[in-house]
Amino acid sequence: MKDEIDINNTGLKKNPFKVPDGYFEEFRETLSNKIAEKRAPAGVGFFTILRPQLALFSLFAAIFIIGYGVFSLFPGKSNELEVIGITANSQLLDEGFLKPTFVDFYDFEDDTLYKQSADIGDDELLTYISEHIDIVTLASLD
Amino acid sequence: MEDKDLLTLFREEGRENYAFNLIVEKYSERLYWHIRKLTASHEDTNDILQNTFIKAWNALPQFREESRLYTWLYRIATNESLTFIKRAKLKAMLSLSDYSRQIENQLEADCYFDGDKTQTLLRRAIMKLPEKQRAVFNLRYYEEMKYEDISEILDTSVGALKASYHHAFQKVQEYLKESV
Repeated sequence: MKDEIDINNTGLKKNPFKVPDGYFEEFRETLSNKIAEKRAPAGVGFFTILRPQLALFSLFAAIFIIGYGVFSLFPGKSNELEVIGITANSQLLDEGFLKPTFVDFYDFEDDTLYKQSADIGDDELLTYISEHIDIVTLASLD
Repeated sequence: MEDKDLLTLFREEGRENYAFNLIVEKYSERLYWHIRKLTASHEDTNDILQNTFIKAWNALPQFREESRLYTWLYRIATNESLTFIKRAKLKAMLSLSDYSRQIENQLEADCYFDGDKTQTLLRRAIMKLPEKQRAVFNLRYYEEMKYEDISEILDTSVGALKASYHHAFQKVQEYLKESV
């Protein structure tokens, strides 16, 4: 008959583990050093840590503002560029590199016909269509 | 020194380090054995114990004394141990190895294990328990801790703990019967 192990035997509750000699004394020292390493120096706040990043950000912001200001103060530069472009085109036309077309000479702003079309009313338009365009053509339109 | 006095000392300006050293002196050994019985390895226990006290150091200024200092420390140690075991299990699973077999081999190869054959069988039986049940068993069986205190540590009701311990006890007894 096998001997059963009595789990309630107090001998069984004895600690079967051991530690290296001087472990607990060394542990306190090791822990103390580790905690000292992890502690941040006194007086170091959130903004102190962020200061270099904030400085860099401020620098870039200043450069951007100055650059934007310079371009805003001298708006004429874009007109000058247009004039330069037009002059260059005229030069190329004179030299025969560009073939002039009707569009090059047409001044849309002074066009009276264009202006007149803008003044045509709906009634006028309907009258014109009914007089000049036959019904077959109208029906074929989408 | 009583826990209450230690906490009062800790809150005095310039005395935190001294008070904390006293806390470590008072509880390091107890917590070490508690963790060791969960993990079964001296090296792992050492790491977990250090993490436990580092967490305690960081959290102690905010400690509101809703629980006692000793159950609070045990709670941190238990949580750290359970987290460690879960991670070890996952690591073993990812490397397609058997975690339980690893633990058994570790126990046999452990030069800091001084138990006889019966104690070896008992440790093997305990290591087969699920981690939380193992914690309940260790605290009740080895440390003879009151269920009310275990309830504070594991945040589980006394009734559930009694049931858990009863099942764990039966499992261990069954294992020992079959192994003899």
